[in-house]
Amino acid sequence: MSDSKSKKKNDDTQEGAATATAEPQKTEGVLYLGIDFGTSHCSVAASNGVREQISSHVGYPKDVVSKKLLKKDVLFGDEAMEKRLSLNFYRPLEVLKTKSHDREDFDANLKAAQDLLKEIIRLAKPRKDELVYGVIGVPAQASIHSKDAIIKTAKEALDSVMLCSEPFAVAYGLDMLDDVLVIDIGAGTTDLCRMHGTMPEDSDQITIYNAGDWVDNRFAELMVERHPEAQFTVQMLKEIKERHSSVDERVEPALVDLPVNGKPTQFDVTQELREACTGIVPHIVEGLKKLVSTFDPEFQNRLKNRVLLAGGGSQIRGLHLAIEREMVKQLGAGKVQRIQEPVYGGSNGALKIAHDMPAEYWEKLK
Amino acid sequence: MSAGSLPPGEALSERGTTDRPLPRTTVTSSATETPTPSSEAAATPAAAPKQRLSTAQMLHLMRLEMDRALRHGYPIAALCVGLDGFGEEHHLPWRRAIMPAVFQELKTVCFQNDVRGLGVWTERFMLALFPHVTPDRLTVLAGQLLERGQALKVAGVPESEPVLLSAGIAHNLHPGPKSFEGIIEEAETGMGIAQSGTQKIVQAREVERELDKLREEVDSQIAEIQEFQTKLFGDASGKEELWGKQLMDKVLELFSREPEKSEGVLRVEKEVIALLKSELAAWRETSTASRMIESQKQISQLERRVVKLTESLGLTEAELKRVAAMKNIDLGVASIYRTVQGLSGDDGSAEQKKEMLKNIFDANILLKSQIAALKK
Repeated sequence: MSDSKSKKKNDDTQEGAATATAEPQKTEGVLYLGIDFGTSHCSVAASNGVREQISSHVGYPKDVVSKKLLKKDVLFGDEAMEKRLSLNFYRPLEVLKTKSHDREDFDANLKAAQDLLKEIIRLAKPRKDELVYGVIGVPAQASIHSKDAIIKTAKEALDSVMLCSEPFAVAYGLDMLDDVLVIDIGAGTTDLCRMHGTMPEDSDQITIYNAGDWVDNRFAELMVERHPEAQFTVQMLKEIKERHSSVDERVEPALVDLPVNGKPTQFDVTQELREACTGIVPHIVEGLKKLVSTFDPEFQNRLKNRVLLAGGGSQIRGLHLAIEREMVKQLGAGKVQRIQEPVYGGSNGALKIAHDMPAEYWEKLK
Repeated sequence: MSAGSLPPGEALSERGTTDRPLPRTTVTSSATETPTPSSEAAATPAAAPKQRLSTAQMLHLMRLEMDRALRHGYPIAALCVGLDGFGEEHHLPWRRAIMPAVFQELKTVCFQNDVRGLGVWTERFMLALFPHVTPDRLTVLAGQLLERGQALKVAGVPESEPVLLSAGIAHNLHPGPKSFEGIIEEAETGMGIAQSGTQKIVQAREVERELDKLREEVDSQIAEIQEFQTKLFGDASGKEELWGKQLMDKVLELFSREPEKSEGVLRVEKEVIALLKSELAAWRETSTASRMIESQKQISQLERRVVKLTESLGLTEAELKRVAAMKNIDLGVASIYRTVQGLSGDDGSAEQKKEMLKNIFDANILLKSQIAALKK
């Protein structure tokens, strides 16, 4: 979030506080939280007007010295990313999505995920005198252990909590429940979900691993291949991607400075970046093809023309058009609509679900 | 009451005539009486024609019998029998009719039990002395008398008025001081206790117990009253309260003035205390009403204070928020909702969404059960 946005949000918060001051009798209420617990970014939308997002990074000071220096026990988001060299650094959702608990650092990642969730809830600024009900969009692939950990953590801060799948939350938030294909491009996975008026089943969902991280790695491969002298890390390329990503032919050149033997040197990475970004399109369309082809033939055409593009990956310029073109090529037709708020699409939908959920359901899940 | 205090006109013989000679054997069959050489009265042969003795003469004979019993150490018991009820002025003719009949019944009972004694009666009570009779035996005798009394039909007394008797028994078989006056007084006291209690025959030793009980009752009542006084008038300031306090002080002072209290005094004390208690209860009721009004005033005052304090709390909260804002302390942002919202019925796809929400809920319940199963 930009500084101006932060400032505006703070102003809003102060206005909210002023309103509360003017109405001292308002000391209780129900706060709904919609949380998108993504691999790359987490976002929260709350019924008190607060919307926040944070990159899904958690870091703990490596030693006493770094702890003293950082003056914090745990760092989150961009701050953690920035100071990652002094930290035991985690990208917990990446691990949570794996169903394997054999990893040595699984427990540490689980704790990091729990701390991240607490931070997300804290960012929503819940009042202590309000009931807080939350719906959390979690990766469909998250293991039962991970879901258990998420629920446990959430319950420390929330009065009642429910989990739901991320693409479903996006579709629900946009009121597109019938004959819709949702493409949710995250960092670790791209989730494709077919909505047909009921809760999507396993057969309605496809997860492919050609997502943000795949693009970063592909971009790195191309860079190594074409600019072997350039020194970079995947994180540096990720930042370049977030700034310049596009699949359009006609774009301003992506000129970036990368060190060569310690000296910053300008490189034009437009082509490499476009190639990397375009690389996910065939995989996505392949997945869409499977979902369309297994759908009722009478409604297949309608489905093809109601494709929603969501998630952080949807911010790649021209991606929806590239998918459309590929769909026309492979499926004969296609109409892709990019959601207006890619970052908050999941959390907005989760908030709407929370709002609509009957009271007795909340009570039963307390 | 002693026998000597009997008014001469009430000291009647078995026939109930005043100042006429009483028969020597008033309650026994004269034929069974054994002449006693030391007693003038007892010396008269039982078969002799009935002589009338005055009350004084009869009491003299009774005193002689008592002295002889004390001298020779044989048992002697006194019986005092009184009528229950019939206390009004207009009942006097009935009493005068009942008492000789009761006396006659006593004679019959004595005859049946082969017991002899001396006795006098007035319209208020009947007194008899039985040499060589133990109190237990006399108790049996008195019981029979009381039973016969209940079945008694007396001319001139309506049948709807049952003749109920109470009896007090005294004797010389106890270690305490003994005298004719003492035994008569104890028997009278026993009768008094029997008349006021549920036990219709009371023995001398029981009399003592009853007296102790009475004393205890009075003491506990006094303690109760004192406690009441402390509670009610502990910080007496009003005119009425002061009056109540003074009244109770006065009564308690009167009661404590006489350390050795007789049965009569104890009874009076008991009645006075009962009266005082009922008066205080009545006063308390009116006082409670006034206190309630006072309490209501206090409640309304407190309510006003609560309102002010709430306002003050509101201001404090606002101030806290201001300070928190200055210090960058985040108190959170209030939700726009006061209650749980739920799906609006106006929503076009409400039914569809309802089903989906139910599916989400069911999925979460399933997840919960899966987690629970996993933990097992």
